[in-house]
Amino acid sequence: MIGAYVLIIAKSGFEKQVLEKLRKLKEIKDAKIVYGEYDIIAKIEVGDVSDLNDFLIEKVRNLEIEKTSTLIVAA
Amino acid sequence: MVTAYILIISDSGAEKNIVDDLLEVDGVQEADVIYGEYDILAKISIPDVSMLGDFILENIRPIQGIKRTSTLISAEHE
Repeated sequence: MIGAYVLIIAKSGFEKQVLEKLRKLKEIKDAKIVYGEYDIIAKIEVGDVSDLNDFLIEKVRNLEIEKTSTLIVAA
Repeated sequence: MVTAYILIISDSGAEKNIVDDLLEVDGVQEADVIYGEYDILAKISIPDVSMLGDFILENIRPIQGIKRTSTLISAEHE
């Protein structure tokens, strides 16, 4: 398993909607709206890096999101 | 309780020691070394947002090897 934190900038006004949709995904372990340079932080767990790619492209980035930055857990 | 995520840039090579130090701080729930624009991400939980400044200045930023922090405060209050 690999863990990653996805820092998300949502489309303005869609923060709560994006959060609710994220929380329904089984890969999401924790997701919160935050103040600051990003709008949402989500902690995810997936099998391997190719799952991470599929998950981000198919499930996360097609939500109402402007930008994501994914920080993969190193250890 | 207020949750915040602290994104940390550390001195090169100090990452693991910092994570160990962070995990000993009361209020730090998780701390991971990560790849990308930051080196470490810590999740903290404190009773009140007014305590956040002191918490970070007294407990987090003095940890040896931490160069820069960026704190994202959760907008949800439990």
